[in-house]
Amino acid sequence: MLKNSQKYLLINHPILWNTKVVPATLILLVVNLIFFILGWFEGKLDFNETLDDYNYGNDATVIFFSVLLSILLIVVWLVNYLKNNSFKSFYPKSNFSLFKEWLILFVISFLTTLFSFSFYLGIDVRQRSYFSEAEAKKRCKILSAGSYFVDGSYSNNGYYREETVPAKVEAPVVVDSADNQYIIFNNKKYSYFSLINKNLNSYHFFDHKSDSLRERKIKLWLVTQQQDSIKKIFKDYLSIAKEHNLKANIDENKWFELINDYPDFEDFKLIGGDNDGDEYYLGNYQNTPFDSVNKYLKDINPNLTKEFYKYYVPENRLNFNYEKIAESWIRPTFRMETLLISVYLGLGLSLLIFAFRVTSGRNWLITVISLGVINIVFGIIAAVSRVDLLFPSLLFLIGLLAIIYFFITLSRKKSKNISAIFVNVMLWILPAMLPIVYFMIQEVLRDLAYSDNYLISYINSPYYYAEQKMDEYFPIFLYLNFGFIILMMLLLSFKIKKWRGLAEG
Amino acid sequence: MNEFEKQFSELENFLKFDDYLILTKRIIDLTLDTENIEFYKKTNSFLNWLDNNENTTEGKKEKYLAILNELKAELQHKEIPEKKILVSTSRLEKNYGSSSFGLGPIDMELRQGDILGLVGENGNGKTTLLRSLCGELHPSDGVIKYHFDYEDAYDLRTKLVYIPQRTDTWYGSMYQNLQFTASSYGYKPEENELLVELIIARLGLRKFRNHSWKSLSSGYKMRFELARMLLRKPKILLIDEPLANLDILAQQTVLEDFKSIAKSPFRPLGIVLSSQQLYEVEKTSDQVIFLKHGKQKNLHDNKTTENQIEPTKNLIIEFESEWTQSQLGETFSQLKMISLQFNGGTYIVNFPQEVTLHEVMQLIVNQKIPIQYFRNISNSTRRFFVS
Repeated sequence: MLKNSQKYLLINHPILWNTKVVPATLILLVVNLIFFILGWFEGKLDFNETLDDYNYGNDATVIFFSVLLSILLIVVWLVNYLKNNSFKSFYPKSNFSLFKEWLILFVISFLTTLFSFSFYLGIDVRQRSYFSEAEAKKRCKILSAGSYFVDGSYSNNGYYREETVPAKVEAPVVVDSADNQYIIFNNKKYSYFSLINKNLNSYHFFDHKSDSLRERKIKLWLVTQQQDSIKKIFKDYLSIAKEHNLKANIDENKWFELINDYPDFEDFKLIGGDNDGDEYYLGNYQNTPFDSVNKYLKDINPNLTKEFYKYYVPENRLNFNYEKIAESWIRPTFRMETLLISVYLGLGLSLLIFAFRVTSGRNWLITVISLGVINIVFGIIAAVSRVDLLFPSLLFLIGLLAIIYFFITLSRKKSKNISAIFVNVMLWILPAMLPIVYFMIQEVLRDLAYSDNYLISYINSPYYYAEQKMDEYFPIFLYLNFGFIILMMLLLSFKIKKWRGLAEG
Repeated sequence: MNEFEKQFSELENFLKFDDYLILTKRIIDLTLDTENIEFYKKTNSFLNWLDNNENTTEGKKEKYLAILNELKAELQHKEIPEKKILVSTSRLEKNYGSSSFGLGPIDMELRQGDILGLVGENGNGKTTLLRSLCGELHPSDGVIKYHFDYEDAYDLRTKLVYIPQRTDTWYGSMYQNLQFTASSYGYKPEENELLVELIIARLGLRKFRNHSWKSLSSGYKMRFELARMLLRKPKILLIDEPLANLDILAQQTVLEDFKSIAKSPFRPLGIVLSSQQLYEVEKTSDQVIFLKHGKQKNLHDNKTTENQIEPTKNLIIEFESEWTQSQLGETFSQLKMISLQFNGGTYIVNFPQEVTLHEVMQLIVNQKIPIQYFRNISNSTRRFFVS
């Protein structure tokens, strides 16, 4: 069938035949599908897995193989594609023909760079498939609320969330020191290590504001002793755990009983996030004796003693897995911003091949070498002179020079001479030209923001604001730049066809 | 009798003398002239019949006659276009920067249906002139004017086919390459295969269509280039040393092919070819330009230009003989010989204008001079290679 379709294309659409776009696209789609399926299997969640067991090995392997396969497939395709070159042989071409050919090159190049992304898309889709977004969000809300009552960090009015403090211990010295710190909630003073000052675990679904609101609601329930509401959290939490066959050694009533030290909430019991136990070292830290209220020790073997929580729920496992699910919905690996990597890799590859196609192997090589040398020289000049933005400016100028030289050659209507090298330079630097300008504007704004006038607080400077906005809109800018390149390629492909007609010498 | 009828009567002669090989080729030419898909089909099935009945004589002549008559009926009312000028140059010059060599000035003109031969020693500007005419080199001075419509420089170069001495390698199957050319040149899908088949047969390549480029001899490579050229319908064919790698028989065939391609009454094209095979080129060409150090001398050209070769008044003869130069000199002095040169195996003898060819031959017969080879080169560019 493929052979017949190629035969049909050969006599009906020679460009499609020559670029082998049909078999190439089919093969690339199949390979992408394979990577997707591999990702699908990889994306299976094992609810017994926690952060500690997570194996990062597969990522590197997949990326390595996808790059290897991309190179292999591109080479095989190039060998076939380069068998015929109707442009070089001066076969008749419509004005749009070169542009179409470049678009085909882009599609093939783009599909070739997608393998890893297909893999991650497979993972994302698999992880999304567990629950709908609404259901996943609902569950994460329960888990987040439940995590408030599991041993973890304490907050300081929500400002220093990362700050962790040692668990509450028997030794009076620690209690004393903590007594010096206190918080005020609902017009009442609470110790820093009070349950009222506890943090909860967040999920990708929620921002800081919604986490704080949830925290506040729980705290209010605690201080107003709305037992049913709190027990409901525990019940829902434990039923999710049960659904995944994860064990807890308390039920909702016991849990409530353990943590509800009304009204000060200082003497509550710690609930462990898992039943795995940590290795115990005697006299591990100064002033941190063993917490025998909440934990017990067990000798695993003569050389290993582990400490276990007396009471535990499977928070670590649930958090680890549900965070993955939340991430797959909110920040999947395969998304518009990360897709830019493939778009630009594909763009670069397609322009390298296109340049080879419309000029020649010899000119292509000369360009690669001369651009390499120029880059090194510019790099050295920029480093020695220590002038800001010298390197990007020079690169931009080279691109501009190439474009000007190309159009002058075209308008003189004499011979191409060395202009093929400039065509290559033009094609290769063009996609970077607007981003270079964008980057330089950002740099200038940053310099202005940090300049003397705003030394005290650069965050308040309008330049800083503008620079931050530019940062935020960078992905959108890159897509716009891509659109711009497509338009430029439309124009340039017309011009390159005319240029090709010029005499060689 | 118009051009077509003249050529057709020639074909009838081929048939009369059972000269089927050349007749088949000419039938294909006529079929291509019809530009009619029905005829493409008919001729293709006729070619298939020939392939299957190679040794049959029975009914063969009738089949040829039938197809010839059909073609005649189709073509005799077809309009024969007037032969126009394709390209002319005026004071064309090309210099290569620091190198001392320079081509030109060249003044020339090429019409549809004409073959222009370029001769001259190596390094005297033949390839430079060809490359200038095909648009590969931009003239340093002077003008090349193409007398047909074209959109831009690229479009112009699609209409000028230049086959260099060292052609590029073809990759993939020869047949697909030709199909690709045909579809790129806008032939309809339904005629693509028929046309490629015809052209392959026209150049005697039916057996080689599935060969790879590397397995072909240089002669067949040249033929595939010609096949591709035919599909490209050029206005002008420029070809560098097409005879260089061909055996003597193939040379004759290729030149004959050039002649029939160029002189097609309906689709005439201009051919410029360079070659070292002086006599062959002179025989085939309508015009010969001899290049020496980039300067031009014309043969056969009736226009009086400064480049015109004055027809020599002397009688110049090239021959091979076992006799020594002194023996020959002594004998030929009877006919007031001007000079006798020995040049790598052959002698070139120069007589004053009052001496006739017959007198020389008479002398040779009388003196029983052993002769292996004899040619009157008074009107050939050959003599420029000597002095």
